[in-house]
Amino acid sequence: MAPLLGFHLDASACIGCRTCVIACKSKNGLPPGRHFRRVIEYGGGAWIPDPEDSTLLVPSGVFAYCLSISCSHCEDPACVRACPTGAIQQRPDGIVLIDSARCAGCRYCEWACPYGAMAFDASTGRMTKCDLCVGMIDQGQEPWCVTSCPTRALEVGPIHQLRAAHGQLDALAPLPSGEDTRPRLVITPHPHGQPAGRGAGRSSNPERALR
Amino acid sequence: MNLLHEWPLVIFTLATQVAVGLVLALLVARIRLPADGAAIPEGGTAMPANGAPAASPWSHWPLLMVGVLTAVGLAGSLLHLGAPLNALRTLSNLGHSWLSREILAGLTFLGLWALTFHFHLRPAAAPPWMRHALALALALAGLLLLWTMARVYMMPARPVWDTWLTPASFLLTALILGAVAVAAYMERHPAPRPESWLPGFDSPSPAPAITASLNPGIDTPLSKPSLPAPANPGYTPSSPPLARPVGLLLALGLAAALAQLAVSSSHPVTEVLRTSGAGGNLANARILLLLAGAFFITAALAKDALVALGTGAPSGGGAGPGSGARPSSGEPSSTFNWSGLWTASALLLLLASETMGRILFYAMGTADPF
Repeated sequence: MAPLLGFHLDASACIGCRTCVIACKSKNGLPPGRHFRRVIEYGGGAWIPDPEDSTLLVPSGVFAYCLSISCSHCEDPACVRACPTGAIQQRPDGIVLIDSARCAGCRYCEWACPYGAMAFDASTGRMTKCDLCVGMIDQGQEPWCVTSCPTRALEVGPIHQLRAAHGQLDALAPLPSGEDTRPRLVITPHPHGQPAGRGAGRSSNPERALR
Repeated sequence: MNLLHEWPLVIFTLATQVAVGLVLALLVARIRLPADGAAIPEGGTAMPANGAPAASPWSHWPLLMVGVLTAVGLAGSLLHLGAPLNALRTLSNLGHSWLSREILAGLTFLGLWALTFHFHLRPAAAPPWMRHALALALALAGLLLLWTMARVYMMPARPVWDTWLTPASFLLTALILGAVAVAAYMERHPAPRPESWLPGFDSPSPAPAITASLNPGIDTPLSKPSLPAPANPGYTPSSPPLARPVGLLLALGLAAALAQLAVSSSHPVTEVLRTSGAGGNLANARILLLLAGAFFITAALAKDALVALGTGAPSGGGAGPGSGARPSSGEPSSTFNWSGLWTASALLLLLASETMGRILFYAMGTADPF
């Protein structure tokens, strides 16, 4: 029986270089505007006048970190539930795939996915997304995003092994809590990592994260 | 935010919700409240020679619009698809997908409408109990359609949509526009008798001359009634507005408009939108138009009430020679028909308001998740 695969993201190692994003776009031939993997920059805090010299500004709780996120290949995927044509199915090893022949391009899965993983291909009128480089996985290789990351922040493997090695945390602000879809994702938090749903910061590049 | 990105869905949801609202309003219109001194005039039990009840010509148009709007809505949703050739496959996930269920509900509603309209044109072809059952089934199918449509949007990934405000606002849209549309139509096209779009629910026809000129069993021309409009039996001139179908519909529309005002004002996102740019302007305009529409409905009701109380002449709420309604045959119409203009204006204002509200609904829900 195939082990259930998942991602490990070491948020303390992610530097936001977007090599993973470009590697994925390159491998999948994605045009500008369509991403399977996205990097989110999240930060907060404030700069306040120095009590001793008000012409100076000093940081107060300033923090920033990056998250690299693609499809979480969830245990209970919202996209599989939502798709009216049944085009989205999950393999025994947990990889969630879209059958383009069945997809009607209604984009309902795009609304349903809490991680924004679905990408509409305007040239074919169908939905596309990260497939965990399923062809390479089947040949025993790693996905391109994992191989390309210069800081080794990304890892793919059996989720039970990843959880045993890196803990149970599956969400970090601004990602949603994992309660709904139970993503197969383990995150090593950044030192300033904020809890999902209660983050004190905001996405500093919401437009660029998904474009 | 891109305010018009989801325009096919704006059209789809508005058109289908108005269609359901028309069905609910037509059902309300057939409820005849007892008025003081109501009586069926003598000789009012005449039936056409072949014994079958006549089709009601005035309600052809509202009932037809139900089907047209639903078809337009469904066509709009097809346009929204990236791969329309796979459209039929969208019924494949009834077990988990609310979208599959909504599409099935829409097709069921359309099918029941087709049957209802068929028997509306040919009332002799089905017994009254069947036509009653069909009409009720159509109304229930409409409510089911509204429910499944709302559930499509209620998912954890979109917290802005995942509240009871979504189904509430869908139902209120249907009620507001359906009630005011049917009221506006009834005011400009007074019914020849206490009206029912279910021939089986009709009161006996008041005058043989009217029914004899309608031949049931043969295609009834979808023409506007050109017959003189006698006073409605059951609705004396001093009947309070709420005792007449039009008044009842206007009151329903007003109540729904005020409820919608509460719903859209209290939505937390509306507060944010109001302070920001184009979305904020749209949110404010939506509220203002809703208020204006409610005011116009109130004016229409007040006019009815004042006329009923004052002169005792029949007002625009029913039919009558003094109401500015269609003149009796033989007299050319020399004055503009003012009846129902308050209500028609209210309808336009409310339609604009609901369209804006729906545009905002999509804009606020389809913003980037992070």
